Amino acid sequence: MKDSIRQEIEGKRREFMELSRRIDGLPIGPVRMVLKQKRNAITGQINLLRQMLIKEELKSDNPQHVPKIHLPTKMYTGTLK
Amino acid sequence: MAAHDHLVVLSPALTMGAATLTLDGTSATLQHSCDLVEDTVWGDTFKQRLVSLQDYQASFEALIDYTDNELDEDLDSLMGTTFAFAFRPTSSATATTNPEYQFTGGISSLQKAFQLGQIAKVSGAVMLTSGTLVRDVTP
Repeated sequence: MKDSIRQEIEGKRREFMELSRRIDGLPIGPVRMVLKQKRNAITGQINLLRQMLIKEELKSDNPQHVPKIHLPTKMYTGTLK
Repeated sequence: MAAHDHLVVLSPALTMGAATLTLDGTSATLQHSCDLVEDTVWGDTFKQRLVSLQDYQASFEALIDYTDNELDEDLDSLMGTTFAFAFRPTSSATATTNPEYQFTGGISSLQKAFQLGQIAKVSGAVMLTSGTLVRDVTP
């Protein structure tokens, strides 16, 4: 269960990064706006998956810390905003 | 006696989805509420209540930034989606003395004010849409 949630989070994280890469190269307009909305929605999904993972960890005998998932949006500067 | 750790608000960190208000924000209010439903019956001398559902919402105010890929565009792209909300009182790392409040929510209202001679401001409200509030203290 925990592993499948972790895998799902990793998949969403990759999707987020891929969208960020596409958004960076797009001119201002409706297409970029839709992609940004999609990217924002992924942050909410990752948030819920992390909550599920925290709950699963708390149920186990030896609960592990669930690290925050970093989702950088400004790839080219290399800084997290 | 334990030392008190009070705080003057100087540099909080607020992110909503991929939008960051950390560099443009001026105010944030977090409201955690809980319904208390009354179950007073004959014979009681005080009103009795049962703990019911909790709710979480936040409001914010910021100065509008129209730079490409910055605050205004980022906020507009939050509308109609549910996203991760995260706020901590100072922008340094999350810690027991700097907890981060996280939830998944959506914007219920977004107002932009343009008053003659005044700085343009944006304000809005975010409500929890699913899951619970997480008070994260781990870095």
